[in-house]
This record gives sequence, structure tokens and C-alpha cells, in this order.
Amino acid sequence: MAAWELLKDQNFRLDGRKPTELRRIETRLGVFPNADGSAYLEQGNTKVLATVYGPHEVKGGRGRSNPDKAVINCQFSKSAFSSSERKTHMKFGRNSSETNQHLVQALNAAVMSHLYARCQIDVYVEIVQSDGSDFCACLNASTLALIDAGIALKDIVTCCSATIVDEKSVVDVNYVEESSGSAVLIVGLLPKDEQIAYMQMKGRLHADHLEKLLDCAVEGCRNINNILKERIGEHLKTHSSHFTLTRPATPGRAERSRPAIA
Amino acid sequence: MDVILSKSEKIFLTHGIEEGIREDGRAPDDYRTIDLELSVVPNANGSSRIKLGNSDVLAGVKCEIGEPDPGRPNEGKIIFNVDCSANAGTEWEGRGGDDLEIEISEFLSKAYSNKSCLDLQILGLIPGEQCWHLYIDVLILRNGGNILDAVSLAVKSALYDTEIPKVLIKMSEKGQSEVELTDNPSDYIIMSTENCPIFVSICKLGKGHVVDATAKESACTMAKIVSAVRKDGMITASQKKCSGSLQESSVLEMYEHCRKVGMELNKTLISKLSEAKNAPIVGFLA
Repeated sequence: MAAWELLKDQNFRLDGRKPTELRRIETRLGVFPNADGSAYLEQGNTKVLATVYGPHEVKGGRGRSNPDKAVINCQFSKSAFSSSERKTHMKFGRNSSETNQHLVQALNAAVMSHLYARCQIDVYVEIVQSDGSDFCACLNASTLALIDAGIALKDIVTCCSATIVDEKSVVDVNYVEESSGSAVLIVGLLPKDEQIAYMQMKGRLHADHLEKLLDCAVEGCRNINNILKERIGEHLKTHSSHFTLTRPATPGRAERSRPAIA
Repeated sequence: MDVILSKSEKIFLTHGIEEGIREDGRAPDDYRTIDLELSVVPNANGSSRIKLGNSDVLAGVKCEIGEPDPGRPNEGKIIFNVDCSANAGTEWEGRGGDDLEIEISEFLSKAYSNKSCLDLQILGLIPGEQCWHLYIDVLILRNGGNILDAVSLAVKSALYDTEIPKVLIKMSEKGQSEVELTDNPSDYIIMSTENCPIFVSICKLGKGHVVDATAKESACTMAKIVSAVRKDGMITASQKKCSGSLQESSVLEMYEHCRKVGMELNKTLISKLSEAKNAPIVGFLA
């Protein structure tokens, strides 16, 4: 197959984006009322559902429970029709258990797990449609689901990918860019403290490019964080009528202390 | 999701049903509200999402070229695969949903194995060498009772939505026939899904029986009969489920009920499908 021209003359990418432009992000919180928290996230054509069950008692024997902090359990799966070529996703394949571990690692950095000692938090992620940056979308959706579940987080952990095309760094890679063979860097960021909670790179990269690529991915994470924050705010405004800024009127002290007249 | 009910709750529900009154106010042969959406997964050749009450099912059909069965060289193949997403609940985590997955996909294959359901000849390309394989993947996102009926509705709708690319069969220089896809994406064939069966599950509670049981009603079901009913009332597969036993007379009564409800539901679905085809796609954002 002839290689795609990933970056055209005017600095436009295949899908019409600028190198630093993210794909459109659409979110919805509270998709499944039966779960403790759930979220749906679209990052361009990558569409992900995430649900959170817990915190609940640790399943599978007491040996797994941790007296100091919560056990986070992730299961990632990908529907057979999600990608352009059909693939029955092995639930217990090497790829998915690797992704599970990475999700656990990234979420452990964000969840204030010491508040949920001896508990388990289940995070289930399902890719409905895949078009590159699957892990990023999964992590972003998981964060939203955790927020929907009301689980205490240090920060909204967001994830973004970046790659190098013609010596230029390109953010939020889609499937074509991802499969072009150049190095793809995935970064999960805790934006408040500028802490990198997760990082993975595949492919070959010249050391000179690393800083540029990392900057690009981190900037992407910050932008996604801003978008997600806005969406969470909108969701709270429309769905939580009991969160009011004004305090409900309480009876004055004099009134309360007045003895009942017999 | 398994619901745990106390004895008195079960008695309350059962007595109600014996008198024709259900917990949500439906009549014994009423279905819950069905939400239908087509073409929700652009990567699939056809897809649908069905929400039946609290149950949520996503089905996608993908076409691939493969080899036909030696016994049926002129026909294509349909392959069912069901996936219970852990999103539906912790009990489906890991291998938790495996049994249900196999149960549903086997029943789907049985129901569609009748020749009259789908014209598999359309899927044949080069006799004995190449044909279309239709992979029908069902993803169960939420189990709110009566998952079988929801799955069958989703499968039928997804097949209705399926656009199979047209192919040209050419003779190569060596005298072998070759398959070539057309460049025009709007050049496709659509299968007739009129005769595809849908499942109707009838649950026996006490002396009464109801269709489309909720999760609570399923929890106090003694016996259940599931039938795959075509629009003309023909039954292509049937299965008794649950541990309770049934008398012959009530089996016949339940079959008759299945047929009646199935024909009605088929008619409604077929009339709504063309409407859904032109509706805007909202997906999970609404």
C-alpha cells in the first residue's frame, strides 16, 4: 500500500485538522442508571463506554483486599465490530490484560484510594467504535465515570496521544496516523500538579524529538482536561438540582431555643 | 442482573399476574417501550441498537469474503456471536457471561438455520470457492430482563440495515474466476429480512403467563418458553427454559400466545424499520 501523505502542504492532516488540533470530544455522564457511575465519550470516531461499580466489598477472597487502600479493578474490552476489520476480541488475551494493567496504574495515580480502604472499585470499559487513540479515550471515559460515581480523585486524569509526522509533532492521533509506523507517545496527565501519571511509547523516535513530542502530548492533555471540566460542569448544572449555591434557610437560634409553651 | 426477591414479594407479583395485573401496569401481553436506532456503528455494514425497557443491546453485522460450506457451495454463511459486556454488571466480569453468551448465540443459530428465514443464496459468489460470511455480533450492554427478545429484535434490525457491497466476478487469465469489489460505495445489495424470526419469551408465573418479563418478574418465573416466530406465525425454533415443569395443556396455550404476540410484534417492527432508517443517528449521546 502506498503511504498516505499524512501532512499536506498547508499543514493540514488527513482528516482536515491542524497538527495541534484535537478531534471533537462529545461526552455524556450517567448513561447506565444501574451502575454507580457511567460515562460515554466520543473522541472523533473513537467511541467508548465506561462504567464504575463500587466502592464495594472486595470480591474473590479477603486475600485481595488491602487494609490501607482500595483495590482498583479494570476490565477493558473491544466489540467485534468496532474496527474496520472484524476481530473477536479475546477478553483474556495478552493485549487486553496489558491494557487493564495500564488503566489500573493510571487510575491508581488519580483516585484517592486511601479513603476506600478494604474496598474494591470496578472500572469496565467497552470500545464501541475504534479510530485510533483507544487507550486515551478509555482513560478519559474512565475518569468521567469515576466522577459520575462520586469517587474522590486527586485530579481529573486525562490522556492524549501524539506522534511525529514530517518532523512535526501531531496531537490526538487517529487510526491512519497511528498505523503509519512512526512513534506514538501516550501520556496521562494530572494537570493540576503537572504530574505524568501514565506514559507509553511505541515505535522508534530520535531523542531530539522526544521533548517536542512530550510537550505536544502534555498540551493535548491540558486541552482535553479543560474540555472535560466544562462538560462536567454542564452536567452538574443540568442534572443536580440539589447542588444549590445558596444555603437553605435555617431557623434562627433564638427561635430554636425558645422553650415550648405548655 | 439477578434480582433477589423475598418470598412475600414473589407471592405479591405472582398473585397480581394471576389476576392480570403487573407491577408496572402493563397487560399480560404488552411489551415495554422499545427504542430502535439503526446505523449506530459506522464501521459495521449494518447495525442497530435496541432498548427494551431497561435492557440495552447493540448489534453489528460485518461482511467478509470467505469459503462456503462444502455441503452448500452456492450459499453464504451467517455466524452469530454474543458478547455480554461487563458494563452491565459485575457478575459478567471476566468469564461471568460466557454461559449466557453461548446459550443466546446457539439459539440464534438454531432459529436462523431454517432456509426460509434468510435467502443465503444471495450471499454466494463463486460456487464452492467464495461467498459472503455475515458476522452478526451482539453486544449486551445492560440486562433489564427479557434479554433474548431484545437480542432478536436487534439482530433483525441490524440485518435490515445491512448493506452488502456488490462484487464483480471476473475471469482471470488463467481461467479462474476472481472477485472484485466495485468502487462505488452506494452500490450494494440488501437482503430481505421480512421472514427473519423474532423471539418471544413467555414466562409462567403461578397460573398466569406474561410476555416481556422484567428482571423482577423473571426472578419469580417457574418456567419459560422461548419461540422464534416469523411474521406469518411460523415457529422456527423453540426452547423451554427455567427449572419448573409445565403441563401439556399450558404448553399449547403458551405456544398459541407466543405466535399471536410474535406476529403482532413482527408487524410493528417491520413498519417501524423503514422509519428508523431515515431517522437521525443519536447513538449514546441522548
